[in-house]
Amino acid sequence: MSKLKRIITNLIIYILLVLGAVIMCFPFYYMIVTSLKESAYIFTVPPQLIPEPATLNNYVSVWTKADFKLYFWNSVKITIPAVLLNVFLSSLTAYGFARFRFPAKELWFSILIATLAVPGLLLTIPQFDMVRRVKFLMDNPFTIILTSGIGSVAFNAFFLRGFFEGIPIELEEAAELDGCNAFRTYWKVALPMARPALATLVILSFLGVWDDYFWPSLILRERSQWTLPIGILGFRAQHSVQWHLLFAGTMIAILPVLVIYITFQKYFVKTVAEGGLKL
Amino acid sequence: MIFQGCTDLTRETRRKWAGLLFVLPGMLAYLVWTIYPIFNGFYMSLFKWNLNPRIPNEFIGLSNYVKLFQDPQFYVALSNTIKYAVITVPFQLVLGLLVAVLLNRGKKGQTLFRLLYYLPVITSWVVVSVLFQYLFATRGGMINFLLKDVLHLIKTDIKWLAQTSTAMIPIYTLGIWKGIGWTMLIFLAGLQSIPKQLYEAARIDGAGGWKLFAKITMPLLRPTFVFQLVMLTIGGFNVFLSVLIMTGGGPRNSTQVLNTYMFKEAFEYFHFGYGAAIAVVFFIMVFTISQLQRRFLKSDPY
Repeated sequence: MSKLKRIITNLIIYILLVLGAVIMCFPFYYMIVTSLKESAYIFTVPPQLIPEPATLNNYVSVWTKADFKLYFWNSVKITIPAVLLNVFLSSLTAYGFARFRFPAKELWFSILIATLAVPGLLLTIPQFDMVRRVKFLMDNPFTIILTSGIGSVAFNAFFLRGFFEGIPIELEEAAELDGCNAFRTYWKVALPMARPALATLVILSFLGVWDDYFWPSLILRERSQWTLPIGILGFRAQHSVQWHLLFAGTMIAILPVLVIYITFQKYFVKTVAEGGLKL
Repeated sequence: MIFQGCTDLTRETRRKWAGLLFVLPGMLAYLVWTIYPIFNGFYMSLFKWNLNPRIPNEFIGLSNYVKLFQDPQFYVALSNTIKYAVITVPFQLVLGLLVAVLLNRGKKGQTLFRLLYYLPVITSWVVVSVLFQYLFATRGGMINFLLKDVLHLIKTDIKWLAQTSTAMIPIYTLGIWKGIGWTMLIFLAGLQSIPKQLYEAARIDGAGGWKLFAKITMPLLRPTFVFQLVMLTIGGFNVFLSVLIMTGGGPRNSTQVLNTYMFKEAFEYFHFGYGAAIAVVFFIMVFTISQLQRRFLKSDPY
């Protein structure tokens, strides 16, 4: 009897979970389907749930004719250096706070934490006012690399500090006794041990830079420098009803995110949950 | 001994400088790119800030704030923002908790389900906003099709984003849909940190499913819950890109929120000083609300 009850309970749980998953994923499914449709079929009633005829032409078309190739490479060229800079700078700062004693350390750290609640957009006006005064920085992808690279150092340092403190210090002390200087100890001993947390940081940082629309759209005004999110909205503004092409473009923007997320997922789920909770 | 003490001292000093060097680049960047802009934001809000950097800015004291508190558009944006937070936060909390509890029971396929529920979280606001605009399209949109042709709940297509009475609904829906995965993930971590022995002991004492949930799960999830509430409320007040992309604040200001209003003033009309004043008021509000939530809810009655 109790076994039957357990089977029924499990069945209900899975039915609910599948139902929820369908609701969560249906919009994506419909986006993929639309990206494979020919233009005549995007607003049919009833809507096609399986593209007939299916075509990859939309992808070819946005990649070559609508400049998504350009936007994609612009995004790549900004994202990779920005993420590297961001992870390096954040880990340096976090390691300094985790392992050393210096004057006013905890004061500095509490200032870092206090400003975490400042919403990003509130800084945008003064930040933009700073950037626009330097001609070299406007319409320059380098600006985005720099600002994204240093952008969320406060949150990251707060997030990583706990992980560095969780690593047993003996290994670092042994390295120091063997004559490693502080930087070598950090680089050769501490960083490799913090790999799960760094992997999480890579995901967070990547998502932040790759998906960023608002700030880059203020700085990169020339079409030749647009990143994918700017390109997607620019395309929408020009060809408002060509959803099949637009969604081929958004798919190009989503795929790298999926690849990165699935690659690092096992670290991510663990560390975000553990680290994020300590706020 | 004395000699030993000496080297200890130098090691201490050496490590002090090393520590300072480690945090120096990050802290410098942080001072220039966060602390300075915060102060500058306050400063700018006291000026009629000029678009042309060569023309000196005109100090006008608190005029921007006086104007702001008499600005009907600001109150519309404020009320829309509060409504957005009040509506989306509870749904995200409850649905996220529900999914987490279900996932915690069903062990098989947890990784896959977690990924599927988390997909909206990792997808950019630009993509999902465009996608929801398509789903909520008036003619031939999926939502209208479901409501009209499948469920027969409505007779004519609803002009979701094109009329003032319904334009917020797709924006709420998107906010909830995109947020569930995040709350689920945090609640799941909270659930998994509850020791199994507690449940076993309670079961021996004869407690059943709901009682276990009410007496063990809920109290122990309280810190997670408060954390989520604060984070989601801050997130709700920050609603921006979905509105900017789906409606641009229209039709007739019916979806204008604080962030889009600030954007419009600062980057469309180039009223930087006024925009900064909105930002300051906005910041003070969000900060106060999150502090109040923390103070009133954090104290653990158990």
